Amino acid sequence: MTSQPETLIVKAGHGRTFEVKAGQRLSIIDVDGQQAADFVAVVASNPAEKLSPTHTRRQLGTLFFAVGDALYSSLGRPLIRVLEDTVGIHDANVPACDDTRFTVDFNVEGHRNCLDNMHAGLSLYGISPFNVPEPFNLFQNGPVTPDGRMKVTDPTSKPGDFISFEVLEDLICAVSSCPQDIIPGNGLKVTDIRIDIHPATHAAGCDA
Amino acid sequence: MLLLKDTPTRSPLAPVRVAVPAGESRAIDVKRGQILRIEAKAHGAVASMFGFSRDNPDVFMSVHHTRVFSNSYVLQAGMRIVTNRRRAMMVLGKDTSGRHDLLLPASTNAFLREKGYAGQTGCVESVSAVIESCGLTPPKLPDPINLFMNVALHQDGRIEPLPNVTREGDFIACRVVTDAVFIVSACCTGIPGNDVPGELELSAAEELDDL
Repeated sequence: MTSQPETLIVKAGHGRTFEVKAGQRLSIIDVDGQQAADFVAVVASNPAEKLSPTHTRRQLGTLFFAVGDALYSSLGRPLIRVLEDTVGIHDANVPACDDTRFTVDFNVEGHRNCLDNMHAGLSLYGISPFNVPEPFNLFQNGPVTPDGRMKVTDPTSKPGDFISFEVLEDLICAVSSCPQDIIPGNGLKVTDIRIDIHPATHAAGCDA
Repeated sequence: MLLLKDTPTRSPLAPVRVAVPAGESRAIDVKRGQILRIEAKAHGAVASMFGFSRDNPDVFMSVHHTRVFSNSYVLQAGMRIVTNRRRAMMVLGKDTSGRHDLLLPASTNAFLREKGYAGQTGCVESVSAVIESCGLTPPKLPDPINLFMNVALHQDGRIEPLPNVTREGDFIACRVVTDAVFIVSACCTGIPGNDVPGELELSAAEELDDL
């Protein structure tokens, strides 16, 4: 595991789209802390099959996921597996912020948003805005209150915190550094996200 | 009918009732201002509900946006059920059950087969066929709101399926505020304790008293 990863920087409030291959290790790093990273993926060979928080919840029996858990597709197949997680708190409930999040809920026109950030790159693969998958919101913090409501609060992540996945299948991914700068969610300060893609090693990917 | 200041732009409509046999799915057209009522006709019934705008094929009921619109993981009376464009479709106005799910996906033929429900039709396949027969062209099949499904959400995030406690006659009723088609499925959900399909009745009328 000494080979250098390929590194992408997702600029604060922007998005990146990239491909990963089965056997690679994908790390998503909260560079400055308290920054949510919306993450979506579709299967490279069949973009209609997408990483699905809804199906992952059914498979795992929980809103949240832990090291060792796989995240599942809309066809119930494991696409990535959590290898390391220095935070342990992520959201799989909140849809990506989009233009209506800002116009309807916050009375702001023309705001940057996660859906547009992710769709910009995914559109090159023929994916429409409506078919951008529901996201896993890495580092986002949405605790369950005793009466089943969602608390809107900032992430607990510190600078350099990260989550790493084993990639189980060739995927097209998109990450957005969430531009939400109005409500709790990014500490009212939107910052960069870093993506490291580690090359496959001979041991990884084949016998997971 | 909504109590509008101006003269209504449409005439009152006669009540409509649609029976949903256990293991099948049906559609009901509802106009702005009408009440949509969904009733369990059998103990233990679950109603997986989908909704589609009549005005714009890209606009549909979104369970995910509904949760976040109210910052709630669970459906409670008074909550707005909203579209993927974060606009209200209807409000949960009456609810004799109080137990619904906003977190779990629709079943498919393959999922049910894998879980040992041989011969049951998946909600996805059943609803997709109804969508086609209604001439709807949504960009995708959205995730459902699973009415009457009994699943506990614990504070640590655990989602615990519990034995369904729906009684025959339990119902929800919503004032609908946009012209829409609702498709409701009584197919097997494949969720333990909530996996015995039961008949449902859908109805639409100008006022609750008409139903």
